[in-house]
Amino acid sequence: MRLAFVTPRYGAEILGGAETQVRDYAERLAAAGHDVEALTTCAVDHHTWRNALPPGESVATGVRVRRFAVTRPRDHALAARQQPVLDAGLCLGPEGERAWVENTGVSEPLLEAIAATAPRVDALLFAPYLFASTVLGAAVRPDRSLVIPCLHDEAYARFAPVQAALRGAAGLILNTEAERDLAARLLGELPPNRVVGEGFEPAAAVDGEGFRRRHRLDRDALAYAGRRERGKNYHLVLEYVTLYSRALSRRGPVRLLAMGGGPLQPPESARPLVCDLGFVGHGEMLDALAASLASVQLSRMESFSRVLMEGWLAGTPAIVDAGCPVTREHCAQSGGGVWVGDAEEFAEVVDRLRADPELRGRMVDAGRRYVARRYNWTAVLGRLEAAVRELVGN
Amino acid sequence: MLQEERVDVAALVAEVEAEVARRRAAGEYPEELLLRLRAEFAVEDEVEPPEALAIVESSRPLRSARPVVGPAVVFGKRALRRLLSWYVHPAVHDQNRFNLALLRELRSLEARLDRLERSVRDDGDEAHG
Repeated sequence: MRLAFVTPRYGAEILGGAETQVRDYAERLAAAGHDVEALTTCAVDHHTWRNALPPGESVATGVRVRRFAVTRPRDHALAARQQPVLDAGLCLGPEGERAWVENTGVSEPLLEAIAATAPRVDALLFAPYLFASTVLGAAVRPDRSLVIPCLHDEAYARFAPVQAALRGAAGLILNTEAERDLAARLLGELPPNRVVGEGFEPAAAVDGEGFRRRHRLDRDALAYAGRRERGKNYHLVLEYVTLYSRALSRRGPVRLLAMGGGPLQPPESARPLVCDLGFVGHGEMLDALAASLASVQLSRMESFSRVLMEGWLAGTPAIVDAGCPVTREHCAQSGGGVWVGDAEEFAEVVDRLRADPELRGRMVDAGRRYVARRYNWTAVLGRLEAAVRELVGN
Repeated sequence: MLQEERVDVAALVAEVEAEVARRRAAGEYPEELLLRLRAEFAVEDEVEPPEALAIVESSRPLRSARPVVGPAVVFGKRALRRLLSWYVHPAVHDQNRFNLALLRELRSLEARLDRLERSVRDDGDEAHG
């Protein structure tokens, strides 16, 4: 097949679930013999949309990458006016929603390239759902456009132009059944769609003991990997770990291994419990997960949650939020994780995992089997190829 | 081949919920300590009634912490404030009118909701009585 991925940012230096997923898909499809290209902008930062990379063509891991300059610079004053309105749970109105989308790195040359590329490819694949490259790009040739939305239950998903783009696409490629349920709630009748998910390699050698030695970790630890912001419920992770360690634990305090960046800083009472690792490489992240009693992911804004899979592959079970359908679905179907509704339930789960290594081991095995069965690359690529063929009618 | 041992997570969660409910009922949790710790994580400012915030002040006290030149800085700020007042005051006046109109509507809706809730409750009491 000839395929073109369209994403606002592309490259190994881009951190983000959807961006990583698109790069993985593109590289794997190229390695499987498909003709794959990626159309993207020169931006690397989705807050500034500044043209940080030169426009032009290059090849990265078998994928032809074409970059186009962002031509409408970010209007920071507009963003500063609109964000408090959204934070207050109010609507921007049709004009405001359109302006919001057009303030996310519009590149006219990219839109022209999409139009020129559409006739010579079998499908254009857009991700994620909320940025101009998808909302405006998928409208260029909707009959050839498949959207990989990586949908979250948030204000942007209710914007009229965003919903029009999703409804008008030839098909949707979703990550989980829970994401499909969310899409149906938001959009009503869905366009043709398939659930594919992300792919993972079998567990590489991880060194949890080595990590504990390197970081002089002398007690049980929990791991958090991801953006440290309220949207990801990192404040709740800090709160639960603090309440557990200072008031609820029957087995003494734990440490929190915090990986990733973000604006949220722990309050005074949480600071001694947090081992701040900052940005770490993938190998170090797996070692930290392996060194932990469990990985804690309380975010409700997930369409897949890679870190759960990575935790299972590294040998640690998951603790997730009862209110997140996606992570809860993974845990219920795998048996590799538990969901909690408050700090007291969190404490009870952590105490049980500490008291019962056999239970913890069974959960890890169950999680590993789940990833190996559902999200091995052979299975994922098979589903992806079938989805593209069926959705664009080849 | 490894024996696949299923973990019934739903049952485990039910056990956890039951144990938490038992401990809560038995008063085993240190509620005062939890309350104090939770307060540290409450990021929202203490909620003031909107009436206290509705009127926007256009003139704030002018200060300068700079030694020696402080009084000159304050004088400069005062002059600038006076120069811009033709622009700032009407905008603040409009904002205050809007805030108060919104507040009136809010309070009137609140009163209507109260009346409705009371009437639903009374109807329910009559039906059961």
